[in-house]
Amino acid sequence: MNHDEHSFLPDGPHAAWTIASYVREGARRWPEREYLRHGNESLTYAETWRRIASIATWLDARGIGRGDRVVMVTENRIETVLMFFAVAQIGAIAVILHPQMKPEGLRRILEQTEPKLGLLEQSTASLREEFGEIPLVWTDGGVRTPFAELIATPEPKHVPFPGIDQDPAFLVFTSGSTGTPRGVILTHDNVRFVTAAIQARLQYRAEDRVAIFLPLSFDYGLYQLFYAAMVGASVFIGRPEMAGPELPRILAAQEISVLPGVPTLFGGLIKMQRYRPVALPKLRVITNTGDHLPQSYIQSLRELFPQARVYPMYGLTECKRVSILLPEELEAKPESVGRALDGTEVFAMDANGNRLPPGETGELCVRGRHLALGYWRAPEETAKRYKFIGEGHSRVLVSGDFGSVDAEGFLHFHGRSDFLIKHKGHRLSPAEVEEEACRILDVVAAGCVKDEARDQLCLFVSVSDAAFDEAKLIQTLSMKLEPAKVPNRVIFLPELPKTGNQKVDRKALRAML
Amino acid sequence: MTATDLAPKLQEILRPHLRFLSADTPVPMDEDLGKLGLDSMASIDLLMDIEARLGVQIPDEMMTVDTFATGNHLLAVIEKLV
Repeated sequence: MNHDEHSFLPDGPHAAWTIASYVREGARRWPEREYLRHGNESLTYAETWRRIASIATWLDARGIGRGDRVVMVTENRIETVLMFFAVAQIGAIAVILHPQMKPEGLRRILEQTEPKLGLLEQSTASLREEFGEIPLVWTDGGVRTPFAELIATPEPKHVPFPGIDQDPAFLVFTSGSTGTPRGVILTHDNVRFVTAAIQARLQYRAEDRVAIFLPLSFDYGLYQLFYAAMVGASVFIGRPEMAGPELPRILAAQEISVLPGVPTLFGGLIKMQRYRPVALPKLRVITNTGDHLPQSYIQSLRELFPQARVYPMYGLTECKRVSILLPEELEAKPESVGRALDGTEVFAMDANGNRLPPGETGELCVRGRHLALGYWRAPEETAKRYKFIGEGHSRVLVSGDFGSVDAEGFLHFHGRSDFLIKHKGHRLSPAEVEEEACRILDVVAAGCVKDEARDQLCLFVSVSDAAFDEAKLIQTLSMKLEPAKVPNRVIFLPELPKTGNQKVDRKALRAML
Repeated sequence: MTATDLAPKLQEILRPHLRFLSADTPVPMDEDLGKLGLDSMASIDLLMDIEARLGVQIPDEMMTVDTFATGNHLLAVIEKLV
């Protein structure tokens, strides 16, 4: 383990470490370095910590404490980051949700989490009703508590963390296998362990500027805050909409040196650089997650940015990161997503729960200190994914993905299970899309699969009215589902293929593509 | 091309990129293009379409999230270029 880890220990020898300790320690070690920037605003480590302490004091005074939940629904912005760390510091549990969240989805999450406080902004004000009587803070004014009041809290004090580092720090909501969103419970220690292990591979530097274009509700966007703070780097807080024609210009203007992304973002960047190139001499680290980075993308990125190191990775929210491939390993292992993080293990398992020998394909299983506690208030789903195996009762995450591990420990990814789809950096449940489609009049059955070759989400439907309008279907779905979950293509069939137990046979549908 | 010709021409170029818009609805020029189904990847294709079909080049300083926010924002930028 990194020797720096001990310097993050706060005052007393028994005081617990929290994810906010990154900022607190940064404020002590490099107070004047820039930590956060967004729009025209820039905060040093010292100022960020001062504001976190103010907000923590405010929360503490309102009786919010250990184990309570605070739900945030905003675009990526500094206020959300400050609230996130303050909530964790007082021992409460932070929940950051996607700003394009639909009211129905939000309602289900609020029922599960029963928060003591919500954070909204004008762009998400339409979701206010769902919060009912729950007190709200507004990042940008609004009827009740404005954020400025929190930052201006008189006499901010250091609110001591009341818990232990095995306590939940935050929940990351993601699609469950049933279509109901599930909150993955991450502890302070999960973050501390995985951040050090990831840093050992990616080697962020103090002089780096890291860009977040992924939503903070998505763990890979969020974790950039930790990776940067661990080394004293600066974070540019951008938004997903910036990943279009303007992306190269923003990267140049902000002097971005580390660009974490998903294949869709890199596809756009490659397209724009070919169409109208912008010089990006600072860009030195490119990391991919969320979905498999095609070989052609890796080649293009290396051609366009010869000075940058490209890291293909594999992971899932339930343990954050599984493996990272180093650029120097790329030649020998072009199809691999790398070796497991140091101090962790990944292996393939057969249908009977036996560990498979090297090279054989099975369901990927992960072990290590990065495994989350499970799913919030979902013991059955937790037991399905987090199992105890063998005579030593090893705790194992059963990923639901398929692959093999070769004799040298390199992981080869072969595909997701039929219960989850990765699309445009989002993890979605086909069941959720199918359920919404079946609520539409005249839709008899629906099956959702991804066409990997074309990067399209496809919906197969059978309908009772021959004159059924595809455009209407897409439009209706766009009002019920987040944009990434709306199918790109609709294929009409007289009848959908079924499995033995009368469920839609997604495997058969994929074969029809 | 005159400014009055430009709006219908831009609407015609926009339509295939707005996947949540049904065929019988006119392109609402003040609506958020993201809500009409334009994601960041689609906006790159849109940029290329606009430049190829209108014979313009959107300058670097105009390449912002705001320019691609609504049809009218795009129109205002393009009007200055033709």
